[in-house]
Amino acid sequence: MHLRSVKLRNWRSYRNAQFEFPAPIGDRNVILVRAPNEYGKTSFLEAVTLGLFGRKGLLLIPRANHRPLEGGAVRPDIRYSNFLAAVLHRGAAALGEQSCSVTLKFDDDNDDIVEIRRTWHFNSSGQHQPDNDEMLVFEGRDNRPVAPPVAETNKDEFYSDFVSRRLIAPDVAEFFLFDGEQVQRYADRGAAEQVRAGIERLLGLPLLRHLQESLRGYAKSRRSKAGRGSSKELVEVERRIEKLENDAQRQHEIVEKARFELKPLKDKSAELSINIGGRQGDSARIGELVEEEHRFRTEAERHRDELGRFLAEDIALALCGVELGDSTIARLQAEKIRESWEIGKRRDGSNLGRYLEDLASRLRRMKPLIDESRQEEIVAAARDAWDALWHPPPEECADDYRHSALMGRERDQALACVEKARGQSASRLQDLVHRFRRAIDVAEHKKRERLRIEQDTPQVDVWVARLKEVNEQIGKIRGDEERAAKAERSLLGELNAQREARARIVESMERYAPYIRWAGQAEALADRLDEILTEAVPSQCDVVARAMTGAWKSMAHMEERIDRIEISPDCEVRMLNLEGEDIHSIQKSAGGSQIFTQALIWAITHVSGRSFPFIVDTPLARLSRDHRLRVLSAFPNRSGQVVLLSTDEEVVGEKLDAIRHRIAAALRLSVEVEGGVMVTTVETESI
Amino acid sequence: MSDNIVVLLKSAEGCELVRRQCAAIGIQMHTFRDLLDAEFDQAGKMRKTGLYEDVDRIFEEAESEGID
Repeated sequence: MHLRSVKLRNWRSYRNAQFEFPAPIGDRNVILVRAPNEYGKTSFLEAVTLGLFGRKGLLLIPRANHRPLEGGAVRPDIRYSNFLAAVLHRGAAALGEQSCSVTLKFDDDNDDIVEIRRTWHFNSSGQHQPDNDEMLVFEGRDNRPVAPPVAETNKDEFYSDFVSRRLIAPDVAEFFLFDGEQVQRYADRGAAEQVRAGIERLLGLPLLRHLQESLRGYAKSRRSKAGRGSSKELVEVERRIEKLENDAQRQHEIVEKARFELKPLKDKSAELSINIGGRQGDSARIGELVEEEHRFRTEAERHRDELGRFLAEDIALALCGVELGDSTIARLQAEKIRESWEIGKRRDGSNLGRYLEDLASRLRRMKPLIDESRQEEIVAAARDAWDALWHPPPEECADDYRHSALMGRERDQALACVEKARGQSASRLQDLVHRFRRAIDVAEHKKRERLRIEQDTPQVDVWVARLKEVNEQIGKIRGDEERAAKAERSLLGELNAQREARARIVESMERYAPYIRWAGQAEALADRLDEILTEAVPSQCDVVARAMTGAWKSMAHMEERIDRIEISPDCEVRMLNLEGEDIHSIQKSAGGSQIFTQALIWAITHVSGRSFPFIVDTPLARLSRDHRLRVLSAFPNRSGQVVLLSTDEEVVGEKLDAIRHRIAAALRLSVEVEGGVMVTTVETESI
Repeated sequence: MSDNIVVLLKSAEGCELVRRQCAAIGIQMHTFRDLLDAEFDQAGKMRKTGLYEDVDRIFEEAESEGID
């Protein structure tokens, strides 16, 4: 297979450029393209890459700034359209041209022509219009268009497959289309990592890594989408429902028990109320009788006290009758008068002597003198006159004292006693006794009547007490019932909410069940891809190691030090001398690592069996003089075409001489400035 | 198409390796290839728009066939 021609229109600095590459003849398989930096060598490489793979080729272009992902996959860090926006030739838009194109023409392994023509369109602002991208493929000498089947809805996929099948797969293309920077990026990795990456690309495994990353992202996305319907949440809701059901059942049982207990209590209460209601007249009558009995007993007590007081007085005086009382009072009054008369008489008698002496004295001093007899007569007359004052005693005055023991105050007390006793009488006593006996009799009567009624209705009080007790029980049980019923209602409300939540989760789970299932499958497959990647790589280790050994020996300085390169199943590299010693330090030197990478690239392209052209952009910049020569000499040693893009100073002199015999054609890129814009042109160069 | 991209699948050993690993989780080779194709279709994109829907469809089709 070889690249016949490359046509670039409005591609970066290429306005309209045509590269014609002759078919390799014998050992002449090298196309040397030389130009100073910035003349369009890298643009040429990018044009071939994007011409082949379109958007997917972005992963192979260093200037797309790849972003590494977990697991070793990478993604471009620039949008395809943004990258292309810088591709359109700056002079094209000014001329009203709003598209650029790359046309690649190959002779494939069957010596059949394959032409790929890819065109990108832009708007007047220079923005890429991805929907307008065109890709045309032709094959055969008669330029037959290759078109996807009518049923094929994904044209890009069809053409990608075509390119991969007929020309080169994108993963392994990295080892056929590369520049010095890419070599350096590889060289900066550890040997094992380089080898693993190389073998993975050889086998097309990066797509598996991308798929693995996507499947894990897919699983996460779908689980997140179905998050609300997770089985974990369902279990939690089921647990809450079970608890609520149990709690509600317990409250319901309390309600039922209360209602069960209330029924007989209500019946009992009704029965007691009826009984008590029927006997309420008796009850009232009993109350009245008790009250009346109490009242009459109180009255009897009052009469008894009065009788007691009555009996405590001089009952004899009271009982002697009114006449005796009156006569006694009269006698005592008479004696009282007599006592007063005697007291007066005695008090006057005590003054009579002094009076008579005073009178006798006065008579003796009278003038004329009164004879003594006369005087005595006058004194006797005075004595008689005084005596006449006290005699006779008052009419009411007693002749003597029958109650001589009752003198003075005692008589007055006796008189008061008799006076008081005169107010009492047997009839009074009889009346008191009668009243007392009557009150007692009535009280007893009331009592007997009460007892009779009570004998007929002995349970009323018990019933009342029982009714009170029953009603208290009813009240307590009703309180329990109401609380339990309220709690049950609340629990049932929450239960309904949880059941609705469960229904939603179940519905969600049913709706999202496939996604959960597929997420599980995706994760399982992602895990299996680890196994596939691990198991696949070792299958190529030995063959790559052998190819690398040959490449290393042809490229490396002091190649005789290395007898063979070994690659372990986990891609650890050992560079062994004849004695089987690992001279790993060689690979660790700057030059050594470059040669190691070049050897790996050469080995991968060799093992791939692909005869796709080897298009290399300035690969020698970081090599020593000796290594440059050796690498340069080694590159052409392959069956396919080699397009060597080099600076105008890189492959000159002895290096040019080293490959001169392999050169099929030499081209030189020139730059002219048209209207202030660079335009690259291609010229055949004579070597 | 995936055989042309994943060279591993072009060899009998590689194909058997993938088939064995997929069979262990109940995934058929054609489903695996469909997934690879869907992934390949996304290559070079910054964001893989529509890929998850494609995966949904592929798994759904696999289930509807009653194979996986």
